[in-house]
Amino acid sequence: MSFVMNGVTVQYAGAASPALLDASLSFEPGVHTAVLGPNGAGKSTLLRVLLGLIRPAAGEVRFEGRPTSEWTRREMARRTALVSAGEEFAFPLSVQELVTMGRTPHLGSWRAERPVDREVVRQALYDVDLLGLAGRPVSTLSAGELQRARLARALAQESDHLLLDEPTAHLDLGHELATFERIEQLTKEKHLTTITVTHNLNLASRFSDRVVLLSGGRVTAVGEPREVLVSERIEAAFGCPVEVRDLAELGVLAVPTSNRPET
Amino acid sequence: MKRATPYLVLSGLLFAGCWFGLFVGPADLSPGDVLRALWSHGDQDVARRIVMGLRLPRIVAAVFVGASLSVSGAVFQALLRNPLAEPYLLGVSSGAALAAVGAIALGIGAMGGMILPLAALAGGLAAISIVFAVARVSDRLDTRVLILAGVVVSAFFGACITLILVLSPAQTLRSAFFWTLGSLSGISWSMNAILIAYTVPATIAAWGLGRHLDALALGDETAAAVGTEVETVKRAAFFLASLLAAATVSVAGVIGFVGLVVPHAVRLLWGSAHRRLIPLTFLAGATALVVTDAGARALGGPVEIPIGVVTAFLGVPLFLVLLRRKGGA
Repeated sequence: MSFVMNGVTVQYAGAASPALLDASLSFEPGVHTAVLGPNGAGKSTLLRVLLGLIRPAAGEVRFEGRPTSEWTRREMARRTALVSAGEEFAFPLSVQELVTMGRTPHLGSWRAERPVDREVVRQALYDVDLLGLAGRPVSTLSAGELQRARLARALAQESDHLLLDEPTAHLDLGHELATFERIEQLTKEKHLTTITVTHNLNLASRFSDRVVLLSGGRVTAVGEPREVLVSERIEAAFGCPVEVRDLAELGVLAVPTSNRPET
Repeated sequence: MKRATPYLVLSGLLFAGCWFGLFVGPADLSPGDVLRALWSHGDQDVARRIVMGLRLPRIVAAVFVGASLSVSGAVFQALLRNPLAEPYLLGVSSGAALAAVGAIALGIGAMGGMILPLAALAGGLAAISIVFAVARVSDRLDTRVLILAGVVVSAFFGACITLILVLSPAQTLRSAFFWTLGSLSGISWSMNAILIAYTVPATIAAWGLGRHLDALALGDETAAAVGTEVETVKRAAFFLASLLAAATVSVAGVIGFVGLVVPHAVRLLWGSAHRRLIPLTFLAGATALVVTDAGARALGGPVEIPIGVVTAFLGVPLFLVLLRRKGGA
């Protein structure tokens, strides 16, 4: 097991209710897990607590058998990579420089970049189809290109665990599809433990092996996409009526119907 | 080698600037006198006393003050994720100035050459500690609180300085003036020794943080995810940048704009990767202050214009040109 969480509760200072409550989950290699749920359900918190970026108020998180609190950030970054939801760019930066940051855990503070690092960065750029834009300033990229560049940085870490927080936010239909296809393909090819937080129920059902449904900090359902993504569960989690259609190999389509009381 | 070019260019300019600085000053020495002074031995030689006792220590001070201010500015900008941050933003200068002005007013400043710089250094470090203690919220260093704490502490120390000056005789006013405008005159070899002892190790340490400063620029979460111990790096960056600034203020007072403009210019010319930015900023900052100081001495004639005034006159237009040319950050 890659990650094992046992009765994990996370409470942010000043928050009225816990962000995550008594969550017990485990994640294994080669499996792509989608984490779904409404805003504020605890999805990003789940990723943070798995990586040891925040400490649980109760319960325990183990990564590869060891409590996450015992891992240094550098050890952790060699095994896990995160594509976070938002990122600011305080200073101008090229795509190449952004992706090279993924080599930080391998280089430490003092070592200069080696040919192997440059090769890994080149391969990561190739994997996301951005080799041609390596020299471009990040500020000139489109939303889709930027997301791919951030994914390339995660790949450059050469870690076997990939955690993505809304990797398709702000992306159009085509780029969203391409991102999910790429994530799924990388998971299988490199036998990664992949966890994707997303709001796209349809693509999650189509490209993930397992779905975790969160609501109000609680895990309300875990299982195969078709088991979890049924109308009662979605309605309970998101608080709006939905109609669910099974589109066979295209996954499950959940369409909100109406919030207004029927007349 | 393309990568080495900026280092070679800046080193060449720095060397030329230092060399030029040896030949300018109020004393009317011919180039021959200066050259002879450099290689002569007797202490009786007036030219040698001027060159080795006044001009050379001043050049060395300009090198390390300019370099340290610029590196300090670069590190503060990365730490605060704000390209407008500068070394004096967080109260170092006001703490150092308050200690120095206080020492002058109490009369202990005149007791020995090293008292004032040491008092100023202590004052700067005290200000840093106060700001740090205030900005540490539940074991984390919140950079927004850090800026606010720095501004508030600066304002309070500024008020203390004004109060002391109002209550002081005119003579004290003049010597206290120095701390608020900055000057490279009268810096002894022993002051230089302190300056170098602080700034060289701090610069090397800041260079070692380079990769982590790059990561910090993208936010705490991403930095942690690529292996940076965020809180440790923030603290180290804060103390190193503050120490660099405090050391310069203790020997040369407050010299504005170098720490803001130089890192900015280097970023625009050669990129933001800190492992390159920090050594290049060191060289560029040294060059900027050496050339500015030598130029001001060559043009100023008998009246010495405070170096802080000169750097402001040069720095502001240069900054505006850079901003307009590349459209800012």
